[in-house]
Amino acid sequence: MRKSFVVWLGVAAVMFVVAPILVVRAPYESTMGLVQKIFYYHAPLGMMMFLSAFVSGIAAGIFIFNGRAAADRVSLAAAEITVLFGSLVLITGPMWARKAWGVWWQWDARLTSSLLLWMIFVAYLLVRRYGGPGSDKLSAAVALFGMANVPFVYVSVNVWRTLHPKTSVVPTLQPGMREVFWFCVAAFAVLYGVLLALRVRLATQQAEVERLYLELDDQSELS
Amino acid sequence: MLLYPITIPVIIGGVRGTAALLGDPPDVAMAQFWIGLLLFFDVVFIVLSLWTFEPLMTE
Repeated sequence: MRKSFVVWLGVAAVMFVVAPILVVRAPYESTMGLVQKIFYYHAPLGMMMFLSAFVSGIAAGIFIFNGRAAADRVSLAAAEITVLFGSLVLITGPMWARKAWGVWWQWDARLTSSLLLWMIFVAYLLVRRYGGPGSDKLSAAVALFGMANVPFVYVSVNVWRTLHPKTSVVPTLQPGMREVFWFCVAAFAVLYGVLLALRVRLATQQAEVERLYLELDDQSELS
Repeated sequence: MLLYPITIPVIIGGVRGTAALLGDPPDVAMAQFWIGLLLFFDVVFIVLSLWTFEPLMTE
Protein backbone atom coordinates (compact mmCIF):
# COMPACT_ATOMS: atom_id res chain seq x y z
CA MET A 1 0.00 0.00 0.00
CA ARG A 2 2.79 2.37 0.92
CA LYS A 3 4.56 1.69 -2.36
CA SER A 4 1.56 2.64 -4.47
CA PHE A 5 1.34 5.96 -2.60
CA VAL A 6 4.90 6.77 -3.56
CA VAL A 7 4.24 5.81 -7.16
CA TRP A 8 1.13 7.96 -7.43
CA LEU A 9 2.77 10.84 -5.63
CA GLY A 10 5.60 10.57 -8.15
CA VAL A 11 3.12 10.58 -11.03
CA ALA A 12 1.44 13.68 -9.60
CA ALA A 13 4.79 15.41 -9.09
CA VAL A 14 5.91 14.70 -12.65
CA MET A 15 2.59 15.93 -14.00
CA PHE A 16 2.88 19.16 -12.03
CA VAL A 17 6.41 19.69 -13.32
CA VAL A 18 5.24 19.19 -16.92
CA ALA A 19 2.01 21.21 -16.57
CA PRO A 20 3.58 24.71 -16.42
CA ILE A 21 5.67 23.95 -19.50
CA LEU A 22 2.57 22.89 -21.42
CA VAL A 23 0.65 25.90 -20.14
CA VAL A 24 3.40 28.25 -21.36
CA ARG A 25 3.42 26.59 -24.76
CA ALA A 26 -0.35 26.62 -25.17
CA PRO A 27 -1.66 29.25 -27.61
CA TYR A 28 -2.65 32.67 -26.31
CA GLU A 29 -6.32 33.43 -26.04
CA SER A 30 -6.95 36.36 -28.37
CA THR A 31 -8.93 38.71 -26.10
CA MET A 32 -7.60 37.94 -22.65
CA GLY A 33 -3.98 37.06 -23.44
CA LEU A 34 -1.74 35.94 -20.63
CA VAL A 35 -4.28 36.11 -17.83
CA GLN A 36 -6.38 33.40 -19.47
CA LYS A 37 -3.68 30.86 -18.52
CA ILE A 38 -4.77 30.84 -14.89
CA PHE A 39 -7.79 28.98 -16.21
CA TYR A 40 -5.67 25.82 -16.59
CA TYR A 41 -5.34 25.69 -12.82
CA HIS A 42 -8.53 27.38 -11.77
CA ALA A 43 -11.03 25.22 -13.64
CA PRO A 44 -9.54 21.81 -12.69
CA LEU A 45 -9.34 22.97 -9.06
CA GLY A 46 -13.00 23.95 -9.22
CA MET A 47 -13.93 20.59 -10.71
CA MET A 48 -12.03 18.73 -8.02
CA MET A 49 -13.60 20.90 -5.32
CA PHE A 50 -17.13 20.01 -6.45
CA LEU A 51 -16.16 16.35 -6.85
CA SER A 52 -14.65 16.35 -3.37
CA ALA A 53 -17.75 17.97 -1.89
CA PHE A 54 -19.93 15.26 -3.37
CA VAL A 55 -17.55 12.53 -2.18
CA SER A 56 -17.76 14.01 1.30
CA GLY A 57 -21.55 14.34 1.23
CA ILE A 58 -22.13 10.81 -0.05
CA ALA A 59 -19.66 9.34 2.43
CA ALA A 60 -21.41 11.29 5.19
CA GLY A 61 -24.74 9.80 4.08
CA ILE A 62 -23.28 6.29 4.25
CA PHE A 63 -21.89 7.04 7.68
CA ILE A 64 -25.23 8.35 8.98
CA PHE A 65 -27.18 5.31 7.83
CA ASN A 66 -24.63 2.52 8.21
CA GLY A 67 -22.45 3.92 10.97
CA ARG A 68 -19.29 2.81 9.22
CA ALA A 69 -16.25 4.56 10.65
CA ALA A 70 -14.40 4.20 7.34
CA ALA A 71 -17.07 6.26 5.55
CA ASP A 72 -16.70 8.94 8.20
CA ARG A 73 -12.96 9.08 7.60
CA VAL A 74 -13.47 9.46 3.86
CA SER A 75 -15.99 12.20 4.51
CA LEU A 76 -13.61 14.09 6.78
CA ALA A 77 -10.70 13.73 4.36
CA ALA A 78 -12.79 14.90 1.41
CA ALA A 79 -14.14 17.84 3.43
CA GLU A 80 -10.64 19.03 4.27
CA ILE A 81 -9.57 18.79 0.65
CA THR A 82 -12.73 20.63 -0.40
CA VAL A 83 -11.74 23.52 1.85
CA LEU A 84 -8.16 23.45 0.57
CA PHE A 85 -9.08 23.35 -3.13
CA GLY A 86 -11.94 25.76 -2.52
CA SER A 87 -9.55 28.29 -1.01
CA LEU A 88 -7.31 27.99 -4.07
CA VAL A 89 -10.30 28.38 -6.41
CA LEU A 90 -11.44 31.46 -4.52
CA ILE A 91 -7.94 32.95 -4.74
CA THR A 92 -7.27 32.21 -8.41
CA GLY A 93 -10.80 33.16 -9.51
CA PRO A 94 -10.72 36.85 -8.47
CA MET A 95 -7.21 37.21 -9.90
CA TRP A 96 -8.61 36.29 -13.29
CA ALA A 97 -11.86 38.22 -12.81
CA ARG A 98 -9.99 41.44 -12.03
CA LYS A 99 -8.41 41.34 -15.48
CA ALA A 100 -11.24 39.82 -17.49
CA TRP A 101 -14.27 41.54 -15.95
CA GLY A 102 -12.55 44.49 -14.26
CA VAL A 103 -13.90 43.51 -10.85
CA TRP A 104 -12.59 41.17 -8.20
CA TRP A 105 -15.91 39.67 -7.31
CA GLN A 106 -19.41 39.35 -8.76
CA TRP A 107 -22.41 37.72 -7.12
CA ASP A 108 -22.70 35.37 -10.02
CA ALA A 109 -24.11 31.82 -9.86
CA ARG A 110 -20.87 29.92 -10.01
CA LEU A 111 -18.98 32.25 -7.71
CA THR A 112 -21.74 32.32 -5.14
CA SER A 113 -22.26 28.57 -5.16
CA SER A 114 -18.51 27.96 -4.88
CA LEU A 115 -18.24 30.40 -1.99
CA LEU A 116 -21.21 28.88 -0.18
CA LEU A 117 -19.94 25.37 -0.78
CA TRP A 118 -16.62 26.42 0.69
CA MET A 119 -18.38 28.00 3.68
CA ILE A 120 -20.41 24.86 4.29
CA PHE A 121 -17.27 22.77 4.44
CA VAL A 122 -15.50 25.29 6.67
CA ALA A 123 -18.56 24.94 8.92
CA TYR A 124 -18.17 21.17 8.69
CA LEU A 125 -14.59 21.39 9.94
CA LEU A 126 -15.60 23.82 12.71
CA VAL A 127 -18.39 21.53 13.91
CA ARG A 128 -16.04 18.62 13.71
CA ARG A 129 -13.31 20.36 15.69
CA TYR A 130 -15.34 22.18 18.33
CA GLY A 131 -18.64 20.27 18.34
CA GLY A 132 -17.80 18.20 21.41
CA PRO A 133 -19.03 14.62 21.78
CA GLY A 134 -21.14 13.34 18.91
CA SER A 135 -19.67 15.93 16.57
CA ASP A 136 -18.87 13.24 13.99
CA LYS A 137 -22.58 12.61 13.39
CA LEU A 138 -23.49 16.30 13.46
CA SER A 139 -20.78 17.22 11.00
CA ALA A 140 -21.90 14.35 8.74
CA ALA A 141 -25.32 16.02 8.70
CA VAL A 142 -23.69 19.31 7.73
CA ALA A 143 -21.94 17.61 4.81
CA LEU A 144 -25.12 15.87 3.66
CA PHE A 145 -27.35 18.94 3.91
CA GLY A 146 -24.65 21.12 2.45
CA MET A 147 -24.36 18.88 -0.57
CA ALA A 148 -28.14 18.90 -1.06
CA ASN A 149 -28.12 22.68 -0.81
CA VAL A 150 -25.61 23.41 -3.55
CA PRO A 151 -27.88 22.73 -6.58
CA PHE A 152 -30.48 25.11 -5.11
CA VAL A 153 -27.95 27.87 -4.67
CA TYR A 154 -26.76 27.29 -8.19
CA VAL A 155 -30.21 27.39 -9.79
CA SER A 156 -31.41 30.36 -7.76
CA VAL A 157 -28.42 32.55 -8.49
CA ASN A 158 -28.25 31.37 -12.08
CA VAL A 159 -31.77 32.59 -12.77
CA TRP A 160 -31.04 35.80 -10.93
CA ARG A 161 -27.86 36.79 -12.75
CA THR A 162 -24.84 35.20 -14.35
CA LEU A 163 -21.54 36.43 -15.73
CA HIS A 164 -19.17 33.50 -15.36
CA PRO A 165 -18.10 31.73 -18.56
CA LYS A 166 -20.45 28.83 -19.20
CA THR A 167 -19.31 25.26 -18.74
CA SER A 168 -19.75 24.95 -22.49
CA VAL A 169 -16.39 26.74 -22.79
CA VAL A 170 -14.64 23.47 -22.01
CA PRO A 171 -15.75 21.30 -24.96
CA THR A 172 -15.27 24.18 -27.41
CA LEU A 173 -11.65 24.84 -26.50
CA GLN A 174 -9.18 25.22 -29.34
CA PRO A 175 -7.13 22.09 -30.12
CA GLY A 176 -3.87 23.47 -28.64
CA MET A 177 -5.60 24.45 -25.43
CA ARG A 178 -7.80 21.41 -25.02
CA GLU A 179 -5.04 18.86 -24.46
CA VAL A 180 -3.30 21.11 -21.97
CA PHE A 181 -6.54 21.69 -20.12
CA TRP A 182 -7.35 17.99 -19.82
CA PHE A 183 -3.78 17.26 -18.82
CA CYS A 184 -4.20 19.73 -15.95
CA VAL A 185 -7.50 18.14 -14.99
CA ALA A 186 -5.79 14.74 -14.92
CA ALA A 187 -2.92 16.13 -12.85
CA PHE A 188 -5.30 17.57 -10.28
CA ALA A 189 -7.35 14.38 -10.28
CA VAL A 190 -4.25 12.32 -9.48
CA LEU A 191 -3.23 14.81 -6.80
CA TYR A 192 -6.74 14.68 -5.36
CA GLY A 193 -6.72 10.89 -5.25
CA VAL A 194 -3.33 10.79 -3.54
CA LEU A 195 -4.27 13.44 -0.97
CA LEU A 196 -7.56 11.73 -0.22
CA ALA A 197 -5.95 8.32 0.21
CA LEU A 198 -3.19 9.74 2.41
CA ARG A 199 -5.64 11.63 4.60
CA VAL A 200 -7.88 8.59 5.01
CA ARG A 201 -4.85 6.52 5.92
CA LEU A 202 -3.80 9.09 8.51
CA ALA A 203 -7.29 9.04 10.05
CA THR A 204 -7.30 5.23 10.10
CA GLN A 205 -3.96 5.17 11.86
CA GLN A 206 -5.11 7.78 14.37
CA ALA A 207 -8.14 5.62 15.17
CA GLU A 208 -5.89 2.58 15.51
CA VAL A 209 -3.52 4.39 17.88
CA GLU A 210 -6.47 5.50 19.98
CA ARG A 211 -7.82 1.96 20.13
CA LEU A 212 -4.43 0.53 21.17
CA TYR A 213 -4.05 3.26 23.76
CA LEU A 214 -7.43 2.46 25.31
CA GLU A 215 -6.60 -1.23 25.26
CA LEU A 216 -3.36 -0.56 27.08
CA ASP A 217 -5.21 1.57 29.59
CA ASP A 218 -7.67 -1.24 30.28
CA GLN A 219 -4.88 -3.74 30.76
CA SER A 220 -2.97 -1.57 33.18
CA GLU A 221 -6.16 -1.05 35.18
CA LEU A 222 -6.73 -4.80 35.40
CA SER A 223 -3.27 -5.65 36.62
CA MET B 1 -21.19 29.90 8.85
CA LEU B 2 -23.83 27.22 9.21
CA LEU B 3 -27.09 29.07 8.82
CA TYR B 4 -26.15 31.50 6.07
CA PRO B 5 -25.11 29.05 3.32
CA ILE B 6 -28.04 26.73 3.91
CA THR B 7 -30.71 29.43 3.97
CA ILE B 8 -29.46 31.50 1.05
CA PRO B 9 -31.61 29.83 -1.66
CA VAL B 10 -34.72 30.48 0.45
CA ILE B 11 -33.76 34.11 1.01
CA ILE B 12 -33.00 34.71 -2.66
CA GLY B 13 -36.17 32.89 -3.71
CA GLY B 14 -38.31 34.83 -1.28
CA VAL B 15 -36.84 38.21 -2.13
CA ARG B 16 -36.80 37.79 -5.90
CA GLY B 17 -40.24 36.17 -5.93
CA THR B 18 -41.74 39.00 -3.88
CA ALA B 19 -39.96 41.57 -6.03
CA ALA B 20 -41.36 39.97 -9.20
CA LEU B 21 -44.87 40.00 -7.77
CA LEU B 22 -44.76 43.57 -6.46
CA GLY B 23 -43.16 44.97 -9.60
CA ASP B 24 -45.12 47.07 -12.04
CA PRO B 25 -46.43 45.16 -13.96
CA PRO B 26 -46.27 42.04 -11.75
CA ASP B 27 -44.21 39.25 -13.30
CA VAL B 28 -46.44 36.30 -12.42
CA ALA B 29 -44.44 33.71 -14.38
CA MET B 30 -41.24 34.66 -12.54
CA ALA B 31 -43.00 34.58 -9.16
CA GLN B 32 -44.36 31.13 -9.99
CA PHE B 33 -40.87 29.93 -10.80
CA TRP B 34 -39.56 31.13 -7.42
CA ILE B 35 -42.50 29.62 -5.54
CA GLY B 36 -41.83 26.35 -7.33
CA LEU B 37 -38.17 26.49 -6.36
CA LEU B 38 -39.08 27.23 -2.74
CA LEU B 39 -41.53 24.32 -2.66
CA PHE B 40 -38.95 21.98 -4.14
CA PHE B 41 -36.41 23.15 -1.57
CA ASP B 42 -38.94 22.47 1.19
CA VAL B 43 -39.72 19.00 -0.12
CA VAL B 44 -36.03 18.02 -0.36
CA PHE B 45 -35.09 19.39 3.03
CA ILE B 46 -38.14 18.09 4.91
CA VAL B 47 -37.53 14.63 3.46
CA LEU B 48 -33.81 14.79 4.33
CA SER B 49 -34.55 16.05 7.85
CA LEU B 50 -37.12 13.38 8.65
CA TRP B 51 -34.92 10.76 7.08
CA THR B 52 -31.76 11.63 8.98
CA PHE B 53 -33.31 12.61 12.33
CA GLU B 54 -33.44 9.15 13.80
CA PRO B 55 -29.91 7.97 12.98
CA LEU B 56 -28.49 11.37 13.97
CA MET B 57 -30.30 12.00 17.23
CA THR B 58 -30.38 8.49 18.68
CA GLU B 59 -27.14 7.04 19.89
